[in-house]
Amino acid sequence: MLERTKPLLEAAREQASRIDERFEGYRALLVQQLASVIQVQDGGGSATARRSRVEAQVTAAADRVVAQLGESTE
Amino acid sequence: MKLVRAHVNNFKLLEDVAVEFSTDPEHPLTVIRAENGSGKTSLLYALTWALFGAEGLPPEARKLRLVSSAAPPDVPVDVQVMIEFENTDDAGITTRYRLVRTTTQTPMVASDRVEAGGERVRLLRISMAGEDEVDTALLLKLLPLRLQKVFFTDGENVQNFISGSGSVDQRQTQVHEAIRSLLGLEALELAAGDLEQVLRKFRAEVARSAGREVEEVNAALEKVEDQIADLERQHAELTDQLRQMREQRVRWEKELDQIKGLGELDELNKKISGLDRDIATLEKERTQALLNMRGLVRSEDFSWALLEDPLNKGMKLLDDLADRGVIPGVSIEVLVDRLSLPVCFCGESLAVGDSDGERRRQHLQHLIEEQRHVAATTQRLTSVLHVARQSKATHDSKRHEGKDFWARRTFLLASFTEKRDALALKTTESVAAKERRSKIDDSRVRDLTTKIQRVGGQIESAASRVGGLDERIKLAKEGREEKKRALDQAESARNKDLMLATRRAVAEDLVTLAKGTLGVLERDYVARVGSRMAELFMQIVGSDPDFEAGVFTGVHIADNFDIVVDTHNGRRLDPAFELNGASQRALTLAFIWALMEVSDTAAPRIIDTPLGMVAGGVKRRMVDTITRPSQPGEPDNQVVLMLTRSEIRDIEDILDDRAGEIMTMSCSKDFPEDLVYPWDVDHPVVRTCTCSHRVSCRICARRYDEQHGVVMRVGTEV
Repeated sequence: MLERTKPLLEAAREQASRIDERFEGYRALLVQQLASVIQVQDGGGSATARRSRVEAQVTAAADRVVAQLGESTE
Repeated sequence: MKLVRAHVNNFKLLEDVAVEFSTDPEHPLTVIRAENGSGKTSLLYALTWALFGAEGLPPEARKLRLVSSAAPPDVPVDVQVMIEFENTDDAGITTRYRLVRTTTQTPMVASDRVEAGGERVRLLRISMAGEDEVDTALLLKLLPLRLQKVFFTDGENVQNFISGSGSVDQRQTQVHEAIRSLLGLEALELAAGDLEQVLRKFRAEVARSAGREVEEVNAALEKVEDQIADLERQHAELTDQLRQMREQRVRWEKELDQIKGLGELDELNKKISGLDRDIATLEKERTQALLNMRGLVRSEDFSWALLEDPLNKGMKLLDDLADRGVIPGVSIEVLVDRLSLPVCFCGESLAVGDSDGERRRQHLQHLIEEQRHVAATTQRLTSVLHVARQSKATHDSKRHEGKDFWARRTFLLASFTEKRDALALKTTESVAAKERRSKIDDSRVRDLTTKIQRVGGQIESAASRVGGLDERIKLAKEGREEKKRALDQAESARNKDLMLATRRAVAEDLVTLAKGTLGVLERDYVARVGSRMAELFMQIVGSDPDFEAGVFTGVHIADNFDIVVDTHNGRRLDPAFELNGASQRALTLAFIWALMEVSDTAAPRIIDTPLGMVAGGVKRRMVDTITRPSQPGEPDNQVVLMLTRSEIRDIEDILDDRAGEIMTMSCSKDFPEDLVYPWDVDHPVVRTCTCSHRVSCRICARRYDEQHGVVMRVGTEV
């Protein structure tokens, strides 16, 4: 992450505390995902290509959530 | 990001110039000392060109050739700028990079133009293992082009955030963009938009997998979301129009107030008529006072005032003559008449034939003869005595009553002076009123009044429409929540695909997070930048907000991203027109420094000739504030100031304390007028030395240096 996103992450952490913690570490996962999505914005390319990368990231995050939820219910 | 060193070759007169930048956190300042025409601006352009390419140069500089104007024609010149810098990432890992930008320019024969080759840029990462080439896109991430004015500026452009670029809108846009870019708002906005699109896609997939009924509910939800997006777009447009109209109204009202400050036309006309009447009356009174004074100097009183002493002496002589019986003289007719009578004045006989009578008659005859001889003189003296006694009695009486010449003179003079002064005052007032009347453009007043009324109506209508949109958005959002609940219910009843539902839930949470974060950044961080800017500005200008005789009570960033200066009684100053040059610079620097601090950005700030219009305490506090080492937890400060000798004067001690690197640039063209020693070169060139504001050498020694306490370095003196 570049320095200029530091206040952004700080604000994101504060906002994440208002989201339901589905399992321990869920909020941290969301903040990390948001940071990754922002980094994607810096990566250039067309809007479609960028959105595909965002979609892939969210999908991967959801997979991790499903796995985590599975673990926590076992 | 911090600059470590730079090397410039063949950029303008900088044939071979090396610069070391201070990377010491305790001494964050680098001073590049140079007089006018000694390469400061060329160095600023060279660094800007290296980092941003031609796009980074001011539009007027882009057209100019990069090589020296003294370069011979038809000989290709390689222009190269190397910058070594380091960057520390969030994990605290510092990486060093070397950037090299090169081009070749060939001056054309008998022309100011050059044949320019393409630009070549290389960015190398330097590590213990060696150097490897990295994508130059990294540069724009570290120093976005749009923030170039934050990082690189000069004395002229340093006020851009306050007064430059013409319109208020452009100024606000610059401030807004600087804040958005340094806080990463643009990237976050894009991210939120992308996440919303992804969420919609996931929702549609969930709905499809759950069956027709859920798909229909989702379609209804999407419709509501489109409606909300449309309403919000309308709302944003209308709000922007409303803001512009309100600003326009304020500008018109200010102009009208200015005109009205000169006086309403009718009132002014009445005043002028009254003044003209007063002037006519006073003219008459002044003329009369003058006539009265003229009368006074023609009067007997004036003679008494001027000749009182000699007149009194004359009176005394006449009185003596009277005492001695010389005057008044006896009338000849009385004596002649007495001769016809038998008795003398003394009662004795005047009888003819009587010896005593005859003797007395002879005496009377003698007196008559004598009187005939002196009568003319005596009569005159007698007459003078009578007139003088009467006049003196009148004069004494007047003096007794305080109506003598001097008293009347004082009175008349006071009266004349009073009339004359009153006349002058009324005439001045009349001239001023007539001048004000001549400035009042009645048609402009009517025009402005009409416009203000019209825009007032438009504002009212737009505000009402904004209110209506607010209500519609609120209702639409309530509808969206209803649809969402319906979708959740329908999904939970039918959808068994956990993966799809989780994707949708995660995307939804990410959208909520991105939008919430955006709101916090827009609101809280802008307020923090404004608050820190106010602290720094008040420090620099040395203003106490509670001091009643002070001018400024604070500064802040308004909702429209305008930088606003507050003064007493809730009034505001327009920084572009109502601040002096030094305060404008102070405000811009306070904004830039506050922005860098709040955004936690570590980047160099290079300012060419920043202190040109600044002096005294403000100059010292400005340099002290912008060169302060960063506090624990703050990003490292790196400031490069390009200063002339006169800018350095009176801040030498601060530079001693804060500067980690100081160098001096000189140009051969300044010999023999300013430089003391010749350089033995056959074309104009800039050279550098490590001399500071305390010492000089054979390269940089200038006439008059000694007068300012600069001494020759040991070993370089003659």
